[in-house]
Amino acid sequence: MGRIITIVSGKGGVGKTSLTANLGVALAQAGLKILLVDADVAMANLSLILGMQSSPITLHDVLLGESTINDAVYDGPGGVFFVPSGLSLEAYRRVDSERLESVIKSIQEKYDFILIDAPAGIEKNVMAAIAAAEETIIITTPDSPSVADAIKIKLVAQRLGVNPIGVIINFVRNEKGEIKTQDITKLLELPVLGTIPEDLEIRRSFMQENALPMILHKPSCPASNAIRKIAEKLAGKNIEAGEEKKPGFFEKLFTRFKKK
Amino acid sequence: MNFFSKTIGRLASILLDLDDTQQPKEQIAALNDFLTKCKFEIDASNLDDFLGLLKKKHFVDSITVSKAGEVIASSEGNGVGESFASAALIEFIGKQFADPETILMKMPDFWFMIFPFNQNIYIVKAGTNLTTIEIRALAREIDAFLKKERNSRIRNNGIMKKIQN
Repeated sequence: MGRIITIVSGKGGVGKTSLTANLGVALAQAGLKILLVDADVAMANLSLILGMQSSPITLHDVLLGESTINDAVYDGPGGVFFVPSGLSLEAYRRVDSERLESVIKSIQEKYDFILIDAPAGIEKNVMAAIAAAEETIIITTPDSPSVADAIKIKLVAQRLGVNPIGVIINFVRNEKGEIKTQDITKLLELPVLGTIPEDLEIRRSFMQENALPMILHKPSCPASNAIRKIAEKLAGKNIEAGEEKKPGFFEKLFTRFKKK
Repeated sequence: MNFFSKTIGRLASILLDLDDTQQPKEQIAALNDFLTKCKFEIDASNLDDFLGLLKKKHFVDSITVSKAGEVIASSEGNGVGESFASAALIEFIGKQFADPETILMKMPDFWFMIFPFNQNIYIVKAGTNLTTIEIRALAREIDAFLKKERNSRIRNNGIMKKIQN
């Protein structure tokens, strides 16, 4: 039986989706079979970060009962498998997110880890994403609004009987005003699985013609290293950094001409 | 180059005291205060007390557990009428439409939610409607408590029989 973990934050914009993508790729690099599920049925973004924006069958179709979950699984970058969510507003209005739990549990045996990218907030779709898992990881940034929302989402997860296993602190700049790691641990009463430094490479990784998770785009940047360490904790083994794919001289020249 | 520019940048920032941020101590204190108010302990020795604690945890007004129209337990110590009506309602809807997963009823001042789960019926009254996900979580908690109670009763009976023999 694989582990089903929902990545939650409460607050939006704390880097939950890119972390889900990168953590998934890092775990896949450990030789594990990983499925990423974009459960943000209203504001689907994971496909954009993975560079897989044109998938014909999505989670919307599965939740509408028009396709099976196996039809919506795609091969993603870095060896991960991926279930995208649709962009259609009409389908979003019609989907029953409460079906997510049974859908995810039906494929639990096929994967070592299923990482679910939850929407922000504490509304019904968020609860559906949390309830579909057995564990949650809470993402926060080291500031009070984000930590306040992380506390709320932890309480929601506990009400739903889902075990929060730890917190990841993202976008750490080591400024004096940041809430310290030990204070976050105390407030959330959870172990810190890792801290990820703010890194421009996160944004750069999806500001490309062919978007790729940062851990594939810049495997040795500080944020990639931090994510790899978190993945090592989850997988219980060491993960080697992949090699950065740098374009050669002729490839660069060709791209320049192509642009013009 | 990258390393040097970063180091110089960091040094300049320290020397010029560019980081003018401060620890939000009052905000951390407020969050600690908020946390003390939402702590919930659900350690109870009997089902009635357990339902009382669950009411606080799930922000609802009352919880009644019934089986085939008979009350198993209620946070309000009653619930006979609710149990009987809920069993009849589920049967009626099942016959007229299809087996319902949840029945939600909006009253002028509150909501009634009826949820059949593992041969029991869970009747929840609250100021706002809970999602099926929330009601199922609540029902699962009560179901686990009932199972634990039943197992400990069986174990105790076994011990009693051994002592008698």
